[in-house]
Amino acid sequence: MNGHFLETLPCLCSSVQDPGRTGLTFAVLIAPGQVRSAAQLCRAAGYHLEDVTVCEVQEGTLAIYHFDRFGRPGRISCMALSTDNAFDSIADIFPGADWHERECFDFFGTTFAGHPNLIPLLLPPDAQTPPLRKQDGGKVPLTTIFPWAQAPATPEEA
Amino acid sequence: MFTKEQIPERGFYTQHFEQGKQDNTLILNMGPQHPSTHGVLRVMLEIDGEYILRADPVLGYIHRMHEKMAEGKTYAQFITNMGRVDYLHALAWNWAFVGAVEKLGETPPTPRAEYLRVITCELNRISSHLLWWGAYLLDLGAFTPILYAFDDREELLDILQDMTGSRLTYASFTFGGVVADMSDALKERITRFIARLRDRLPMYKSLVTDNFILLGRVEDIGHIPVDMAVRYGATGPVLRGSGVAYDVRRAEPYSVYPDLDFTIPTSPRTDALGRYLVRMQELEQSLNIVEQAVAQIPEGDIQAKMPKKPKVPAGEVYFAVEGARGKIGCYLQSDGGGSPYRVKLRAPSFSNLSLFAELSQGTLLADAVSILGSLDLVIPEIDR
Repeated sequence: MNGHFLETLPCLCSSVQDPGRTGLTFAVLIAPGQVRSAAQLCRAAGYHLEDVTVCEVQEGTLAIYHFDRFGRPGRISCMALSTDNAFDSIADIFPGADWHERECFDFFGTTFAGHPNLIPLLLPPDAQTPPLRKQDGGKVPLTTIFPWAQAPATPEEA
Repeated sequence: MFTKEQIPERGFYTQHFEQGKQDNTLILNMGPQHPSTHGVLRVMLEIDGEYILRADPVLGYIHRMHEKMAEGKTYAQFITNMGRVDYLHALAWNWAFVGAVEKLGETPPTPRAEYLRVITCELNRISSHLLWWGAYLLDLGAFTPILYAFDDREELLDILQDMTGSRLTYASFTFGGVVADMSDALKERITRFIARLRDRLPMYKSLVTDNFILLGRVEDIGHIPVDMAVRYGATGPVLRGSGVAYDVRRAEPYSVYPDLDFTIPTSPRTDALGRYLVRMQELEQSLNIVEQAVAQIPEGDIQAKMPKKPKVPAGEVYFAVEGARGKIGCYLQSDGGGSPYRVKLRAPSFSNLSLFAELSQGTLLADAVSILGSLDLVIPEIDR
């Protein structure tokens, strides 16, 4: 089964997906503190990192990690919701994440604790505003895009 | 937004070089206007004599913020951007975005359009590989092959011009179909082109591939073990050159590829020659695919009946296609409005280049040029 090993983490919620509809086989929402554990589990299971991306919803900043594997393909989406736009870096587990995280730093100002070289990658070093940040009025609730997901009720829970 | 401490003062743009160099070494700035970086890629190198101690690519010279443009355009308007991400295999990017929207909206294209997409996309892959072949050999000092490659490619671009309306920045896929049909005369020309290139490939093999001068520049250079490819997420011929038969057309089948008979070339060599051989075999496989698709193409509409503005329901979708350089991914989020909520473009060259820093350590500077060429980079795709 694809991705179910991630449920050994304290998941906030998870969902089996239909690849014919979303291109994913499994999606999981975890607490931001669990990102490194999730990456280690994926690394151990033979997955490679496809990309890291960030999007903004009303509840906070969502980091989305897509993993897939060469042997038995099936994309899993691992998401974490942060209220302070900060996550832990997984660049030492997947060196390929180094540039993806720098790109997220460029576009959203998201910081990744423990990143070896968190400086602008695509934007000039004196760029002022992260271009993909949304105005508060432009953000949608988490469940609009991810109907299966439940945002943590309180910051403590997250 | 960025604090003063976050901005490198000495202008190297990469903190790895902030501390300066060791004694007896030299910091060399390759690019962004270096011919072998194929566009505006800059690589910072610290070299000890002819050997590379460390390398760090510096990106962003052709960054255009396509993902921001997506949020300000309608779905249909954004298709033209897709022809400009990877200018060598623009139709695969067309397909990634159009496919993502179709998948989320559950509005599949017509059967004839599926075949037309396969034909144009594979012809585009051939033109991309031919250009890579000529340019790579030019990097290595062989001038003649690119003239042969461009001779073939010229005929291909004429065919694609008639099928799509443009020669390089294609935007001919629409939601639910394609913009133009293939006439019988065009079918004939495609068949003639297949015969012509099949006739030329053995000559390329004896002229170039078997040439020991080439082998000296590509054999045992730039070994990418499978584990390195997994750690960096390398895909496409870079991965298949390391012996992994992973191709999105088979791993995550889309369109009519399951109905077509083709193999996934791999090479167990893991070096630059392995990647070279894989691409040369892919030329033959793409010819096979086009030949079958031209023979099997059904009659019918080239465009499904759809409203002018596609209704895309709220949700997320990830659609991947196999581009000439590897897995192209389009991750789309919709809030149900007229423009995408968020579009993430996963560029294969981005991941393939990210392993260069590790791969080039300890190699000769001249070999790094060969390694860069064997990765088949398209810089606008990396910078997006």
